[in-house]
Amino acid sequence: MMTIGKPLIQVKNLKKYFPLTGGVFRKVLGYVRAVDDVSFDIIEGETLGLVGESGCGKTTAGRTILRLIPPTAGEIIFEGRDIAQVKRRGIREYRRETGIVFQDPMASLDPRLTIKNAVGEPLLVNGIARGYRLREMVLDLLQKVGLTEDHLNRFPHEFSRGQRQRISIARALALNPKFVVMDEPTSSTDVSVQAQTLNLMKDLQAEFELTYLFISHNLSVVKHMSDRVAVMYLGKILEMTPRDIFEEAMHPYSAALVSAVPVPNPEYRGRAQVLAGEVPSPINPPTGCRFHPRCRFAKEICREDVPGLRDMGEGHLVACHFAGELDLEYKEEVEAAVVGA
Amino acid sequence: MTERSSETIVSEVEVIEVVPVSPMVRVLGIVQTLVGAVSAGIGLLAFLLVIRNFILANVGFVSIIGVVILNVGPLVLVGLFLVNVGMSILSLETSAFSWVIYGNLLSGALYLLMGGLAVWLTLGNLLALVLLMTPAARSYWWALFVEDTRPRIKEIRYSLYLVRRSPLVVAGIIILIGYVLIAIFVPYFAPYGPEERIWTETLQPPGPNHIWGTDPNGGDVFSMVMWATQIDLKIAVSVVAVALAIGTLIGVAAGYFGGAVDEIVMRITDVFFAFPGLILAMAIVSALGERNLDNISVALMIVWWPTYSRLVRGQVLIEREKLYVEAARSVGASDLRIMMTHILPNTIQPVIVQATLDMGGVLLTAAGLSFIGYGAEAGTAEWGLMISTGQDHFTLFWMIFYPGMAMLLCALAFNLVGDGVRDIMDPKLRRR
Amino acid sequence: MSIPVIIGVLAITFVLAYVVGNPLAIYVNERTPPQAIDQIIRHHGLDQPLYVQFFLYLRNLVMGDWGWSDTANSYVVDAIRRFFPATIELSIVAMIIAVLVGIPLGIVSATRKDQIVDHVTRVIALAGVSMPIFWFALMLKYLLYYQFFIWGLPYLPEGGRYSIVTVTYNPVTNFILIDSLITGNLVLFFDALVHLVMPAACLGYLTLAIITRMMRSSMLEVLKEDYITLARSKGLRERVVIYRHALRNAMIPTVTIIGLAFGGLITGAVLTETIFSWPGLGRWAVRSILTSDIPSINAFTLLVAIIFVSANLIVDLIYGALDPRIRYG
Repeated sequence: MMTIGKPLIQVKNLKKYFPLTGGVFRKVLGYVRAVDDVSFDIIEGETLGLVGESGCGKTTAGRTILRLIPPTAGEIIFEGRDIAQVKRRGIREYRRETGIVFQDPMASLDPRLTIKNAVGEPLLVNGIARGYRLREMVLDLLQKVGLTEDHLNRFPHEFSRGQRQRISIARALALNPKFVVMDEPTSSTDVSVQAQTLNLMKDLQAEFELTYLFISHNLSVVKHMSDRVAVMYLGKILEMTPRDIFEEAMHPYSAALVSAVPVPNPEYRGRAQVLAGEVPSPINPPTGCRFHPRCRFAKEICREDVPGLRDMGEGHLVACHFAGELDLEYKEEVEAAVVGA
Repeated sequence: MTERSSETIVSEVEVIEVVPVSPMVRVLGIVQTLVGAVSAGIGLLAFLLVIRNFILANVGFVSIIGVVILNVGPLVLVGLFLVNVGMSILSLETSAFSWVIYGNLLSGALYLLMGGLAVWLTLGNLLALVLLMTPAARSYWWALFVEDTRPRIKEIRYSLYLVRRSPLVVAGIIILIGYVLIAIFVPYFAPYGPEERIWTETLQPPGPNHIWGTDPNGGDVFSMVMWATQIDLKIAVSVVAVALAIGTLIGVAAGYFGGAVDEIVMRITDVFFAFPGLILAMAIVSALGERNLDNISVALMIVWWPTYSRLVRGQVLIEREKLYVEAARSVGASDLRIMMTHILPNTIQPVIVQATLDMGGVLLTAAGLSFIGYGAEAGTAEWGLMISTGQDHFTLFWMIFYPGMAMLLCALAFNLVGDGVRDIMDPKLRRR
Repeated sequence: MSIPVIIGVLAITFVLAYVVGNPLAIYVNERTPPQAIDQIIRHHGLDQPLYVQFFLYLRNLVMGDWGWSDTANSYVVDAIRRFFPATIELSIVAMIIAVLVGIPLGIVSATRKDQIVDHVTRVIALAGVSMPIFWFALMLKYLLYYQFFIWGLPYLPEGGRYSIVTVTYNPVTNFILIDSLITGNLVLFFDALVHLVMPAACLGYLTLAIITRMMRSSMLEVLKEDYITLARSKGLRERVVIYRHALRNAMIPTVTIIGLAFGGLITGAVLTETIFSWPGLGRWAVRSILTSDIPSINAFTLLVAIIFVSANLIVDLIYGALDPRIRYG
């Protein structure tokens, strides 16, 4: 596992609030705190996995980092520049160095554009190639993701899901970016295709020296892909670790997530933890630690103080007041209690 | 900092090979740009003249709008478009070459229709087309053009297959083709001219001399119904075409800019919708002064554009939120490109369906205006006017029945085609 | 949206009356002595700047002074009192016909998709949209009045609201149907009803076509939904599935169309009333436009705008009742 290296992107205190408006005069009634004060680094060449339940703000985080949506506050430092502050021209330049693969490959491809034009669009709009040269480069990209010349002049609806996802990957890589956000790239494909796509991504990462931000709600996939894993809950990062999160989860929420992953072992008698209650609304998040209303270990301090990320060694960051002190391993008596619940 | 990062990009992506540009392509680009510049120039000049007349001679405001809509607008737009195409050829963008083909064919047809100075511009367009076919220029685009066109032709073929399977659409198309043929060939088969009157044979019932009878002035109903095809079709098509162009432009602007522009445009269309179309058109015709077919057309254009701007705006708002738009933005596509290559082509289908349906509506409204005396001058061969002439003698059914049937059939054909095409274009029914 | 629309229409009518037309023409004719004209101009504020005139115009409207109608040879307000009920009566009867026939036709067409009934219904609907209403009116008149008369069948009256010669009518509300019931004059009631048949059928046909089409397509849409499949799989009878489960949901878009079509009815009334000599707003409007009687035109325009806006408002309210997802807080 990689622990040292130059950070490619530094995210500092990133916030993204969506205003909620209502009434005749479009008065702002409140904000959805999709991403609320998040900081982390992405090291050059690594894959940072970002997990969390749906609605926790991980997708918003990914899009904000790419400046597809403007951040409310915070810094995104890329190659010494604060991307959060740059204007049009700067954003376009930044987009040449970044790429994104969306969750739904069908929706992310224009139904009226042939594959050649879809994959060639980044090259064309950035003035990198056109005409025959463009065709050549697109073909090259398609071959890298395992498609052939026959596919060049077809429409997206003529492909399978897996193929479409590979087309999206080819397009994301067309500009030879340094940094690619994978936004749940495999959640809409079935498992056999999923493995294929994931391995393709890994191969491409090695070939093009890419840095990935890999967003998913699927812990096993994230574990397979990532060098480090960050766990997000209600717009906050609760834990970030280069270690194997399955073995060494230190935040109660991560532990609960891990325990929910099925283990392919019939002998295994699991520590199935069921989290009580619903995810609170991001419009009106709980005070203090975001997780405290659902945490079994919550104390008075959790209700009042927002815990910061603390380094528990080897870059293992945990946002919990009692990190390392808790009995997350589920001894017998706890197990009984959980089963009873 | 800015400079540094763009340098790195250029060094990472392999440098484009410098293609030697043949002089033929340069000439082509220059011709294209010139034709465009001249037509835009003429359009602007005409616009200035119109404004000058407005100030000096105090011509009515609404008639100014009419002139601009009918003559100047298209010329300026087409001109600017052609300038754009020429410029892109000079920078060797491949898609520009196919734009030359489509653009020149379209603008050529438009220039010919408009007559006057614009006819000369057609020659410029033809020259550009010829230059495009020279081997030196062809090497830049032909093979790619063929490759790009093939999948499109495949799609069109599939659409035609769907059309063939729907008997109602086929029927509508056949009727429409019939009307167009009648409009073209009426001078050769109509027994009487459009304004010919036989004073000795008024109010004749259908018989051997006049198969559909005659009207109180001795006009032959059959001939007049046939001649009217020309006038009524022209009104329907031109009104819808202009209203569509204006409405689309305004709708795209409203949907794209959003905010205050959107709000203002939508409030204006609300007001237009609250007006009864027929009354509004009548009021505009009154304001324009003379009651004639040109003024009817202008009035109907002014009444009709809000339909399209609403529709287009709604579609743009839907498309704008789609993921593929964000995907295009994520690779650095400009707003203009997103608008033109992604949003517009995906919004245009329902608009075209609506336009087809509206042709029938415009036809009926124009005839209705003529019927109450707000359209064609007395004596013109026009369906609505013929019914109006016949209504005092409504017991002699032939004066009313035949022009009305002609109108009904024509509107029905437009509706059949529009309705069927809507079903065919329905993405749920297509294979995608 | 209603308030800006009304303001916009007011502004346009003002421009029509004061900028395009000549407001002086209302008060002055060829016999007016020249020296009186100045006085008239000052008295009515016509020498004031335009925005002041606009406020004067608004004030007059609110005060009920809508001007003098040459066409009706009475004050505009009185003319409206006379013509408005006639048009509303006609439109409501037409709408009732359209709804009563259109909705069942749409349902039948959707439930028997691609069968003979469906094809016939679709052609009827398409013909309704493509029919020149004034032609249809004349043809109806030719058949049901003239030909029936010739054949010795009981024929329908040619036009008008009631038989002026044989029946006496003393207006109370100007809604003949209501008045005749109030006064217990059944002869008048049936006479008025017979007079209504042709114009209402003619006016209702276009609306019927629109309603049928909308009902058919929204019903087809709804019948594809999962909850319909579920209802069927529970073993419910098809009637129950369609009338209890599908109809309510399919009605939502249809209601919108009905609301919008009501505005269209008023426009259609312009042509229908002219042909059936129906003494309503439409005929008045046509005659006013032909004689450039601007106060009357403006009154008509304003009325139509008000009807349009209130129809939309009513549609919104009905929406709330039909669709539990929409609630107005």
